[in-house]
Amino acid sequence: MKRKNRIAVSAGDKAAPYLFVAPNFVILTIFYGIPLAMGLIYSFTNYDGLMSFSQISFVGLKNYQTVLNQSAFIRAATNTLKYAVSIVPLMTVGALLLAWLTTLIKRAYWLRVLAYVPVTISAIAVGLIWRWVFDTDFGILNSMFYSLGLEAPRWLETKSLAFVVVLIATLWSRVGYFMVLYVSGIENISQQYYEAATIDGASLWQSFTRITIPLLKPTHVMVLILNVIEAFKAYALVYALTRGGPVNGTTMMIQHIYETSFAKMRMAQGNAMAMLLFFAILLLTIIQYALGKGGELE
Amino acid sequence: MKRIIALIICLVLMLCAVIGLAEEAVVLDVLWSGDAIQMAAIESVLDAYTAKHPNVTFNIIETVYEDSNAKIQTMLAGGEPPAIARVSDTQVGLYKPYALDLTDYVGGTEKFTSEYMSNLDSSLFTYNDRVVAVPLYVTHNGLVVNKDLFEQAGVAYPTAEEDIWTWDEFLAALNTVKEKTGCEYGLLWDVSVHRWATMLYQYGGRIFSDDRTSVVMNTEYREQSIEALQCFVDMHQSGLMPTSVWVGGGSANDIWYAGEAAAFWCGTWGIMNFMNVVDFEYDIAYTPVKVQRSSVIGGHYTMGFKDCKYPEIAADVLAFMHSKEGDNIYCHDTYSLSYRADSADLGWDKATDMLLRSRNELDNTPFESVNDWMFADVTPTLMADCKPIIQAAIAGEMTVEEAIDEFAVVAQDALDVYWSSK
Repeated sequence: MKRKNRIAVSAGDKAAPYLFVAPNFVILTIFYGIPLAMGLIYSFTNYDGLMSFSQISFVGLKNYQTVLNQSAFIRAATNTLKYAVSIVPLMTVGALLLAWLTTLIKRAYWLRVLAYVPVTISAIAVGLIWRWVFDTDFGILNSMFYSLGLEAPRWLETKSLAFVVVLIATLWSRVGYFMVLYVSGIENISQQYYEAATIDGASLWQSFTRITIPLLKPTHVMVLILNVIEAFKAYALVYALTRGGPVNGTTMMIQHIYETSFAKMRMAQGNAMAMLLFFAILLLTIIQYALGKGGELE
Repeated sequence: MKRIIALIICLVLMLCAVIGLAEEAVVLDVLWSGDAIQMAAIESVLDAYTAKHPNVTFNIIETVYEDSNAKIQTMLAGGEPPAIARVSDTQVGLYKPYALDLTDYVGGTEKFTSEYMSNLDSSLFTYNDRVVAVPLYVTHNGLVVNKDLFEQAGVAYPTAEEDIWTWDEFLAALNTVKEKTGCEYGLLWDVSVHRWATMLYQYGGRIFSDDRTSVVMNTEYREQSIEALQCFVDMHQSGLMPTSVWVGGGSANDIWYAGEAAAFWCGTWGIMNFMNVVDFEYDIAYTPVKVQRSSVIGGHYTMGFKDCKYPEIAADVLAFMHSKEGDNIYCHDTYSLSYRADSADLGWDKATDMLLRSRNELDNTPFESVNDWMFADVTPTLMADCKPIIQAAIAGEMTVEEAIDEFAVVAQDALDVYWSSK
């Protein structure tokens, strides 16, 4: 009788983890797995977004060939890469320094709140807010230039300036989020390390560079991965701010994918682009994870 | 006797069933995008239909125009399309294969076509010679002037055909108004290839050949195309027009609302909305002439979808919207021009003069313009891919000649895609 009970409990124990995982597994499969698989399949077809299954035919790698030969796609991919290469280090360093400062200053909660407030604003609203700042005709900044009798820069009409404006707006809106991750990491570092360093005569900066930064490795890995993914998926804020201009100078991959799929009804090409973007992000994430050894401390 | 009673009971039951069916409550989904005036107008049209058919009511799904394509596609792909949807002239081609066949409800293709403006390309609302869309209202790319600024500068603008200005006179007038009133800009222009193309035709240019098999804007019509685009670039570089709108993604409407521009080259469909926003008087003036008069016809259509829940009733509603009664309610209430030949003047109170000038511009729009833009299978690509080319020319990133060549390449690619699918 006892033996029978032991077997029953053991089977339940084995099933329990799967049951706990099951709801998430089902949700992820329905909302991510199946759409991803469908997207992958559509990218090899002539699907236009409306066809019935009987009208769809496989076209092999044609969509990928077309997309990779499209100057507009190459330009959007280059813009996205340039943006990611610029915003990721800026965001990471900015968030780290901000987090460090707020842990140094006593009662710096207000500073954290100030830095975090923009995170709660929707990306579209952030884009519009910064447009009101940098707009050539009605922008607050240019109004100040005009009132001082100075020639105002055409922020959103020059590719390099528009790109800088996008970086400023993104940094403002997202740095608070990554700061919170770093604050949590810093507060988990044992004070004993800092006390020992102080006894050895280490300066504040030396403690930061020799203790804080190395011991934040798991946080660095997470912040970098999240940052890169966000950068490659940039759309709403940039679109509201620049409309992708000037002359497609800030058109990112997602905007290009959306326009190809819905404005031009080339859904299969849009799916091919989305797959290329997905595998690029996946590859970069794997590389970052491997280089960071999964965030393990040495 | 029992048999007779049973027969009577059966007949009564059948009659009840027939009456029940006839009066089955039906709710049709209507996907509509538009401002408050347009939303109120479609409600009036649908209410008029309900007054005749009390069992039919409507669920209006409001969407913003920019999202309407994605919304319709999602509903179609999900197998639950709306019964009726409003689509633009650049969208109508996308949905023809999925549209309800309205031919039998509107008295046949020939009769239906004959009821509309003569220079309308019927291929836009037909598919395999069957009627699949009902023209809702027509608009044109026109010139709205700030009446106060023109009066302040003492400059006249043409409101009669015999006074129509040339491009040189037009530019001189705008510069004078700008100088004398101190307004920021002489002219604003909607950011759209469709809008820009108006001057292409006025300069004698065109994009496609008559049979739409080749692009002629950089061959036989290269000189006219270059001249038109050069003028457009010059207007920006001289400061007559703001580069912030075409290059910087700024809003032309905001500058117009602020009263900082003498004139606005835009689609005239929404000009009555200006009334609620601006605190100056405005008017529609005739657009200028270089070698000929032209506008570009634009407009919206209404379609039903084959796989909707009540296709026959949806088709009947669309037939009502096509009728003079349904058409006139919408066009009158929205201060729009009707596509119908018998409804040129709908008596829009103080807007009547302005709208009749619009109608005159449409009546004087040449075949080339209609041929290029009432080509719904290709226009989405022109709209999306040629805009950055014009922007690049304005920004000085490419010469006008290079821009015209690039424009032609994009247009030819779009044609090739279209013809290869046939």
